Amino acid sequence: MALRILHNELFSHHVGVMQRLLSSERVLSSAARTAAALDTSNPDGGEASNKKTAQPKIVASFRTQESNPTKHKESHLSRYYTVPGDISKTLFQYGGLPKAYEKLCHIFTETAIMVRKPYLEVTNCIESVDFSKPAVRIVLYGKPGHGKSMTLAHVVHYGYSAGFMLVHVPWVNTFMRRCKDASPSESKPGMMDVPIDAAAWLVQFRTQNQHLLKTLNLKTSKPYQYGPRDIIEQGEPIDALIEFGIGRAKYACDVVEALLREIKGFSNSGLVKTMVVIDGFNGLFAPNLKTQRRKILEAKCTLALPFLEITQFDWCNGVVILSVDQLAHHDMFKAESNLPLYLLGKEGWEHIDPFIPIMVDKYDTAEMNSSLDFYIDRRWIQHPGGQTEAGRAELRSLCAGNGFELMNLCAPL
Amino acid sequence: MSLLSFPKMPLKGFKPVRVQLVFNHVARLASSKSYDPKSHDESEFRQLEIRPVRRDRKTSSKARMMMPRDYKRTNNIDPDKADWKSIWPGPRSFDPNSIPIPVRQGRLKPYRRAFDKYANMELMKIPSFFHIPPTTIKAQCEAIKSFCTPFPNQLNSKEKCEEHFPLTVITNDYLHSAPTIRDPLARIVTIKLKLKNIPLDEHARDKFMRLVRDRYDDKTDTLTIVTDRCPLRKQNYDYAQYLLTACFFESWTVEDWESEKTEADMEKYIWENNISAKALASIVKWSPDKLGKSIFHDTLPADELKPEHLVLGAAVKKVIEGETEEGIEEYKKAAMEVLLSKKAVGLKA
Amino acid sequence: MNSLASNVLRCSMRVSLPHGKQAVAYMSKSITDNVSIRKRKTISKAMRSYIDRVKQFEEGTVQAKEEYETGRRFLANIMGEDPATFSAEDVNRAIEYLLPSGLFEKTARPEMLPPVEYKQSAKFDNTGRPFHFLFYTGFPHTYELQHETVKRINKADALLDLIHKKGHTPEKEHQMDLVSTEWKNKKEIQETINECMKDSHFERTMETLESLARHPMSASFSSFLTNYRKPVIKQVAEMKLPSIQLDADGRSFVEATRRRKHAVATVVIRTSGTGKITINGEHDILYFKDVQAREQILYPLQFTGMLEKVDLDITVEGNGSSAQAGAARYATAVALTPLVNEDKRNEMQIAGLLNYDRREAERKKTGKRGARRSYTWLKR
Repeated sequence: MALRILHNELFSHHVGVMQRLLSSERVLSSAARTAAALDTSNPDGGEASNKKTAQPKIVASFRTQESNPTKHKESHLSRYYTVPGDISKTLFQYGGLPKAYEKLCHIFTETAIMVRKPYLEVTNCIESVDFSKPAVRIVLYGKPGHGKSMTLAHVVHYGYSAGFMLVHVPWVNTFMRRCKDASPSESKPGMMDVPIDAAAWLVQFRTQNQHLLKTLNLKTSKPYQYGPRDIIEQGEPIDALIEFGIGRAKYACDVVEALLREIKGFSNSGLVKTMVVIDGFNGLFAPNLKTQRRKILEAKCTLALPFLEITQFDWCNGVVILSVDQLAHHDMFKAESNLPLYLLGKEGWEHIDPFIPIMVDKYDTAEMNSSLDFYIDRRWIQHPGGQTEAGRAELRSLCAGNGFELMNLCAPL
Repeated sequence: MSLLSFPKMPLKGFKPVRVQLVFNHVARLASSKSYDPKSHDESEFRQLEIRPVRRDRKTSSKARMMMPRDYKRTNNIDPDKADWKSIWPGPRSFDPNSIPIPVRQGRLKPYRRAFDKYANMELMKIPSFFHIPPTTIKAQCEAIKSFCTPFPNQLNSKEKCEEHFPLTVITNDYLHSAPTIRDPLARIVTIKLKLKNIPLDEHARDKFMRLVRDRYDDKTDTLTIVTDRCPLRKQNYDYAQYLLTACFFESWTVEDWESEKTEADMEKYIWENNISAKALASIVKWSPDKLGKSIFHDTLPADELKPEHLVLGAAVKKVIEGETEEGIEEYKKAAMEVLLSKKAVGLKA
Repeated sequence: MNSLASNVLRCSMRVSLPHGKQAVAYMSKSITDNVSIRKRKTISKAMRSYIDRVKQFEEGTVQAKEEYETGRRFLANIMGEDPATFSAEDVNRAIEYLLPSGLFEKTARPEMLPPVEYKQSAKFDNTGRPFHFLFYTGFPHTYELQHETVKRINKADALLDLIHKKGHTPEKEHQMDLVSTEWKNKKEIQETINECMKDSHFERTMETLESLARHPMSASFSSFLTNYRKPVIKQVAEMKLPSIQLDADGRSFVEATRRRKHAVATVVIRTSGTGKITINGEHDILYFKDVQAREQILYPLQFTGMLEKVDLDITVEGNGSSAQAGAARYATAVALTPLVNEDKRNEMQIAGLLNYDRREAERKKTGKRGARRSYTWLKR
């Protein structure tokens, strides 16, 4: 249903659509209007364009040119920064951004993430961690649509820029609730393997960490034998293990387990610092497994175990950032609360207690305005009514600070 | 003699339209001479009567009173001074001739006037409480008062009543418009008692609450036992007393199998016994050589517990007993104190 | 004389004579006196029966009054209250106490109503001659009204002719002002002329009155016409607005409760706010998953320009999201009325924000699967 305030302008909208699209005049928030006149922001790589133009650039107020997440401070709050294209591809090719937002990034030809307070809290915690002490667990919680996954994506970029080894599970339910294939496990009788998903995850791991794997020469600490001719010797480069897992999907789950134990060992010995990022951590405690064909298998998933191991505190030189989501709960429709204890359950809570819970709250007015400016700038909101102050007020009221809801509301405009 | 016959009226075709006559006397029938055997003359011929004629007809000494058609009891009731409780002492169906009110009920069409009270089935069907209007109730209460003792005036507040009489017994009596006092619901007995009035130690209290389950209300500290399984009220009351006594003594008894109480049975959360404290201890005691051993340490002894550990313990307990956003915020502050190095403390939470 | 008659104490009878005539016979106390039959003027049977009926009716009214008064005093007595101050409500209360009825239809319950006063005067004199010249039409007052109107129309025509003769045209003031008044409805006209009307009579009468009112010279007959017109009530101006109260923090707030179908919404609008909306204490506007429902709630705020200036506190329950949203919208609009000026209120009224939506779920009928939907037609 079209927005009420926009009814009057519907006809004029249809008539003038092409005109408006072609014109360079876009209606932005009043603060950005003056800046917009001189705005020559290049969607790809702010730093690059900085070097190109000689004159000082005036950037739209909802953007920041700082694309290194390690340098994001309070002054950058509620502003969008753009992830450089190649980095975006490396990190998020196999997931990490919410699916709907991924499509938008494709349309906008840029991956823009808003700097928000939960992110700064996480990075402050990470910077305060004593890496000689056991791994600190940080848990993001909040209502669906408030920005947990986006914050985690931002944190992944931070980890990449800061030189962490990334153990990144973009969305747990990909293999817990929609696994492509499940087969009974040989090494762990009574449980189910998810070979294809495990192999896919290994591919993602390799892509995200290829720069580190190239520079550091990490070697296996013990031999691994999976079959009569499938042996990885001790001292072999870790890449071989990963390649083996990708090639032989049958053993992929076991390879993931081995890999993560190795990484734990590497971090512990100080060879590399690791950042574990898991979105929808509470999904790992589901009592059963659900395939893509909606079939429920009453057995636990073996791929959950390595991720549970690596989120324990018994290693150092690492940091663990998790999110608990109502949508990752095994019975999504009956989950009543968004709070960590409820979603994790007794088993989950005892697994990660003590941890630092950080709430991801709804967007405040500044952040909503920033979002709206961004959508208008990217020509996502084309309806002229949606660009007026009254229309923006309506959108702000309708979404009640829920970023996901705001995105959906702007889609038909 | 019919009421309406006037054999010698001069006018022809007479049709009285409306006649209201009050008869006070009944005219006597002119009777033929009766056969009296005693006065019988022997010379007279005795007649055989094939159909005997009734003689010695008893003429009613009392004038047979016929109630006039228009007689109404209400005419004799003075509305202002009538002693209604004497006129209508017990439950009775509505009687239009005795109750001097022009009440109406029932109509054929909504805008028509309702039917009057005479021969009105609906009014008779309705339960009527003319036997207990407020004045009658008052008079009856006054009469009963002479059989009652006064309420002790030292019990002048609710707290004093509860102090001296902690057990409350509630029963209901039911009144019908029919002359019956029986009602199956009158057998139900409810007993209410505040647990602070009975001596229970911690174990006994916990066991007592497990025995009675949701008969105990946490907020008002009240135990409520409702019994209705016996047919008589007295029996139900005895049964309720029995239940109370049995629960009390059972809760003071410690059985052998109570020592097998597991963590899942615990009614409250004690942080020191729990895995959370052990995890914290393991973190505090951890060194890089303990890779792969997650919770290896028992809870820290009291001398090693730092204040921030206790704060964390309290926060965990609060969350587990009832998770709220504020509780999680407290937990966050406590966890940051414990887990992060001193640099983190200066951050705004 | 017969002995029976000698025992009669008092009796008065009406005696019917042959040929349908009646005479009044009075019998004196002592029957030994001569029975005197005074023959009055011969009155027709119809007249006689009318007089009887009137007499009966009057006696009945008197009797009803007495009965009611007796009953009232009796009830006051047994309820233990003072008869002087025992009003009709107290009587009803007493009846409810003494004869409790659980019948759903209130008009089927026992009642004791004070007797209705009828102001009916005789329509004809004692000879039977009616007073009203149109009595025999059966609807004298209606037809009289029509006659009077037509008389005045003719007069108006005559006045118009006079003006035309002088060569002028009628001024605006010569026509009656019809804007501030409107015609009475059937019930009100019936009350005015003190007679029941058929629908066809009513239509005809109103047509006639209308033609008089529309006449260019109707101003001189305005006193006649105003009897049959009533002022147009400006509903909005006389609208009862909810009151503005002050809460503990010094913020003013307005509260309103409204319904839609079976959903009930209570809305509290707090001024000097930031557009925060709380539903049932814990949810924000996303309590409504439907965008349309959310829009419904925001619409009154948008309309009055209060969108992010007030805080809303909504408590809603019953039915589904659409009904709840409709109830909340109505309540919000009503709660906004004291916070805006009169022009805005008129606009809201015109926009339909301040109207109760009477649409209800239609009942299911026998032989149909729903209210309208029939069962699937099967050939066999």
